Amino acid sequence: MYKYLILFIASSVGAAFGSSDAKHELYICGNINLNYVTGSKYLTLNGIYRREPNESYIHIGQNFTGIYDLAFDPFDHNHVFAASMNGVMSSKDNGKNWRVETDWRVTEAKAISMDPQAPKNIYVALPDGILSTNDFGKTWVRNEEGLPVRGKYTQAIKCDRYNTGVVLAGCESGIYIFTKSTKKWTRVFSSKATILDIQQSPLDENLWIAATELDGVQISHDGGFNWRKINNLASDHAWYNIAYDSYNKNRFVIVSWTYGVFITEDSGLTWTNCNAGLPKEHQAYKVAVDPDTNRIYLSILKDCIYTSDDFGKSWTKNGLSGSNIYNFIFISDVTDSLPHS
Amino acid sequence: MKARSILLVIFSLLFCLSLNAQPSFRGIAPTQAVIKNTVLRREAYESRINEVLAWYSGFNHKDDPTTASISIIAAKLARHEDLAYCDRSVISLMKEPGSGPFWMFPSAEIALLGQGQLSAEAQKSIRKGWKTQIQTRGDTENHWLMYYTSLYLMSELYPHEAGDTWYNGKSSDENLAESKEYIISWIGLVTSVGQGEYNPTHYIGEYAIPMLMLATYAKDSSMKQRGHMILDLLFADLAESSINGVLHAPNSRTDDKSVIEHWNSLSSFFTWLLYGNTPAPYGYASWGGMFAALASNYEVPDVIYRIAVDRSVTYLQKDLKRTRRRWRNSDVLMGRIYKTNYTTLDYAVGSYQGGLSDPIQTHVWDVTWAVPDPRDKHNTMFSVHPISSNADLQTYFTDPPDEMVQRVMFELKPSYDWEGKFLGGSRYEQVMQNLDTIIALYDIPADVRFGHINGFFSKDLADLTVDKSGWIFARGGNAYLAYRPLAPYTFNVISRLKPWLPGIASDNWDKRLYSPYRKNGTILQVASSKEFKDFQAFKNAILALPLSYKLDPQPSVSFTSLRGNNLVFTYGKIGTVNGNEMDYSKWKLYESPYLNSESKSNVITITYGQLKRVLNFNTMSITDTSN
Repeated sequence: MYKYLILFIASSVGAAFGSSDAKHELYICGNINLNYVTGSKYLTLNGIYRREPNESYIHIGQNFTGIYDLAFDPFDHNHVFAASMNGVMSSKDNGKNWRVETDWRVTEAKAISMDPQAPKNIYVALPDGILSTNDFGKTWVRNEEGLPVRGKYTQAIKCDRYNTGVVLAGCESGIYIFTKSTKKWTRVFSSKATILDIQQSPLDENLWIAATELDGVQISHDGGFNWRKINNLASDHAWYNIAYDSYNKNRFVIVSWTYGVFITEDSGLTWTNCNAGLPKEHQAYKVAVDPDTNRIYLSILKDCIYTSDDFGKSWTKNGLSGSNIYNFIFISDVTDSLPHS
Repeated sequence: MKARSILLVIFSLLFCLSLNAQPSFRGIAPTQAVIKNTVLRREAYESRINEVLAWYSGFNHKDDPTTASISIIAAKLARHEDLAYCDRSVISLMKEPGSGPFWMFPSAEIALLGQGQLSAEAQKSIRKGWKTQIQTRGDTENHWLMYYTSLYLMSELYPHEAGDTWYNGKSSDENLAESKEYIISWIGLVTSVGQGEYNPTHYIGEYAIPMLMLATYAKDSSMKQRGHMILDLLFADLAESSINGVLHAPNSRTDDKSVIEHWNSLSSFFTWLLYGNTPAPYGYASWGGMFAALASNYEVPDVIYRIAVDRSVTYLQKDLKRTRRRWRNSDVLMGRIYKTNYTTLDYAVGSYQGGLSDPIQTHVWDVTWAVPDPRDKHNTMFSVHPISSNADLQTYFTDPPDEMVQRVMFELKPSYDWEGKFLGGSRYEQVMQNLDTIIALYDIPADVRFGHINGFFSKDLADLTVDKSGWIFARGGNAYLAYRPLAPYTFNVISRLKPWLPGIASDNWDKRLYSPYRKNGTILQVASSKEFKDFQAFKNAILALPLSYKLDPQPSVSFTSLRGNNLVFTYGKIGTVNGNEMDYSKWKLYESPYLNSESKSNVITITYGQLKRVLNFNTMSITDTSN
């Protein structure tokens, strides 16, 4: 278990170890072809892109508009799972070829999270609940005890990086927490509408933040068990995503279609509007912070990826023009040779 | 450059289309004469099939296979002609495979039709497309049926092949098993709880074509039988829900053109082909060719044909259907839909109650009057609340909240956020129907986008009269119409021309009744002209009917209909008829003189006079009797 923890620390998504020697690869789930409708020909490349050392992006694998999130095997980055339109998919060659692991009962998986300390355990957010496996995807089961019959639309799911067996889910009816001891979901926050994102701080294991559709931005300082609304932020419209500074545990960034980009330096007490330098239609869709360089990656819908090397003070067009990015996924270039157990 | 090339191809194709006469579209409208002789009827059916295939096959693209459409190839394969051209075209088309059910079923149909005709190289090119290009399953019921039926048949065609030879990494055996399971599950749902995408004006093709493929090519006899039986059910429902071959309301899904010009839809291709009682739509509404290529393998049952073409007897039809899947904002995954049709020789009044079938394209209620030739006719009247709502879209879709409206408008639903639209239902509309009377009530919260009602008044109405009582009278064919708005309104010419609306706007064109009041309502009473000495007598009868209503705090109506029934309906409450609350709990899956089925029985009985066909989906058997 200890070994897993070390491995996880080195490889966790979005983890902040920029000062270490560990480097991270950036994978992107997104679509360039915004003109796509079901059945039409793909005119451009969609699906998975990987950042190259020269900061360009190369497309990997199949051209598919329906890949929303990825979970990499920390022992073997060629082995990757995807949350997709067609259910859960897996690849054993780093995303070049895929197999749909689930059947017609599973559709439109929105997010996927692997327990970094027990990678055999994978959790998937679905429009009608939560799916999981405890055998590295050989078998999948509905994992919904404790979820309501209705209100279990799940948009976000994240395994606790520090506490194995603890998972947080963002659903229509609130935030739910799953623990190894209870083996069921418990609602820890009741929401007016869908929770759109949940993220754990890479520097403070007890700090979690949730972006919501109608409940503003929620924060927890006790590992996700208790939540309070962050003041001084509008909550009439949806907040989509959160990303943390890799070095400063008091600084994080949140984004919204309506409000654009906001950054706090004091754990949410005050906020700065960081839309200067972004297009007027700053429909911010997804944000992430590079664990190595602390660079912010921001997707503005139908525009491109913007980056900021001064944490939101200025922005530069970075690439993937016309894109709609579903997720930025950083993975460590360090893998372990341990066999799965 | 590529866009220019595509435009050139489109214009070339349109030019070629214009050169190719389409007799059933250009010619005299069919009469409503019944062909009782089954041999002659079959000959007429085959003749119509041949017309479609000849039309598609007649496009001469022999020198340029890149301009071929899949329908042209299907027609030529069905006629066993120009095989070298078909080979070249298939190979060319398969260089860039499509990406989902709308590519899967045509390519599967070509592969199946091409057995023994296409070269090994051409067949291999199709098979390769099914390996290299991942196929999206989509998110609607029709997507899934196309997807799994196509995958099922392709897996049968290429059995026991390994997972790495298929786009989804699953072996032929795995794909076959999963597809079969889904198809059986879907059929079980349709025949016990009801169809989700019921009576669609266009999407009927997306059900009928895959099911005909299944009925034609499935090697598993039970699956073949399932395809056949579902076709019977789809077409019996179509027969019962159309008037002179024109499908009328309610519709789970329709579109901006068809909601006004009902005939102008793919459903009319099917009524034309199967029953011969309406002109064919232009270009056979696009997908018609894919059905026609296999249509000789289907026999229209006598009992269904008779239901389609006989409107001599007035009938009431009550069916159970269900909504599209509701992911959020609902206590149930699929809501119940209670569909009512009242059909006479001269008109049909239809509606559904129970909730929103579909957030974008549903059509909740209307009267559709019979016309001898429906081409360019807007033979309908109804009102809608033209809502635009992210919350509604979120209920049925899994996309993020803010972009949904823009996305659906891009995805071929351009009118969604237009205040002038006539397409779509609303959570804030509640409808009660009793025979040929409709009461529609609206209570639209202040924060809902578009707080007005649009009433559709056709260019084809005659004697449109606004009475000082508040009633609006008009004639539509042989139907007398009385429309009562419950709040002030103006008539607006639909002058803001939209490319998705049929025809060209002018002062004599369709009109929109615009009523900018959030608490609102419409009463519609229809009757046949034969019931009255003249139009004035109808007006007098309507004016004599007891009516009271109020709009605050909730819209509420008490109206004694032309049929003598006292109807009381208050927004938010169940309506009463002569003091008795309408009891939806007792509704059956189908209940009418023609289609009958107990809910959850999986057995549907189709009846016309002495003719009876029982579709038993428990035993997968068809039983015909003609006592």
